Amino acid sequence: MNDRVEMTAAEERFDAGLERAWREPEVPAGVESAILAAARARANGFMLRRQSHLRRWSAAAACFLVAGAALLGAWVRWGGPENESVQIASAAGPVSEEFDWQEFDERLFTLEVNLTLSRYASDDVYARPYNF
Amino acid sequence: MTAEMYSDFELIQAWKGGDARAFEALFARYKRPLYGYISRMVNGDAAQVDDLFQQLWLRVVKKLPVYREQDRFQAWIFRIARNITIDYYRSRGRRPALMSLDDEDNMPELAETGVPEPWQALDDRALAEELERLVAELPPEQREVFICRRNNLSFREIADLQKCPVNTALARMQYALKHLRKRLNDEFERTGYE
Repeated sequence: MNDRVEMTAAEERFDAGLERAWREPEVPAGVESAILAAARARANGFMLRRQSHLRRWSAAAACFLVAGAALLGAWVRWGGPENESVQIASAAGPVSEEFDWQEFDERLFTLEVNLTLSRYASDDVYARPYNF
Repeated sequence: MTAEMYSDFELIQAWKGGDARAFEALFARYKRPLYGYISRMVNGDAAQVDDLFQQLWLRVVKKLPVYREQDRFQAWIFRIARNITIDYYRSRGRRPALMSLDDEDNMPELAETGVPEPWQALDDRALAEELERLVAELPPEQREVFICRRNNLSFREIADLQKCPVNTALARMQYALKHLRKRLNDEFERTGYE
């Protein structure tokens, strides 16, 4: 919106005529220096804060990289592709080197006997063929 | 590349990035209009004006980090200057006397006469001195509109500043111009500016 058009031509002309005489006053030097000193101090603060942020982000990135490298190393050492067989065996369940094969055989034998006895017990012809 | 080539917003961003020279460029751009605004609105002694001017810029330094508007820095900083001026009047327990617009209804309209008016014979320096004196006579709202117009604020921005309709700001400018023209011609006829 051009709000200047609402001024009349005479007003415009008079206003423009005053322009030649309009002066903005000078600002005293002492006043300027105090303001600029404050602005410089603030700018330094911005700079320091930005540097501090950069340092913080750099440290965080370095920590992330170190942690990532450590995890990768651990995976290669204990979970990497060359140890795949160990991984599969572990997934199948704990493997004990002290498995008791003798007990296993005894239990298997007892199971076979019991199955046989129960089969004979259900058969009329061969009822009670053995007397243990 | 000189500072004039950068917009206000670019200078502000550069300052926020730690470049103190960007603020100096911004300060150089607005120091005289704002110093003039405060000195004319307060009509006080120079030390008081210096103090208010420092308050203004220290407030700008404080608030600028959260400044977000891209294109309205001039209006923003004039608003702060206005608040500083109002605070000054409040601290002194008074409000500048307001002249009702109705008081000036009997003023003649500015008309094209076709002939040069007496005040136009004044040289720049004499006119400047007289203008300063007559602007100080204006009611504060009219004086404010006149000063802001000298600094190229639009009537819409001035209306925002004064929290009034655009037409009111426009009317205040028209009354100010009528008053100045009448007083200039009266003074010229009375004294002849010998």
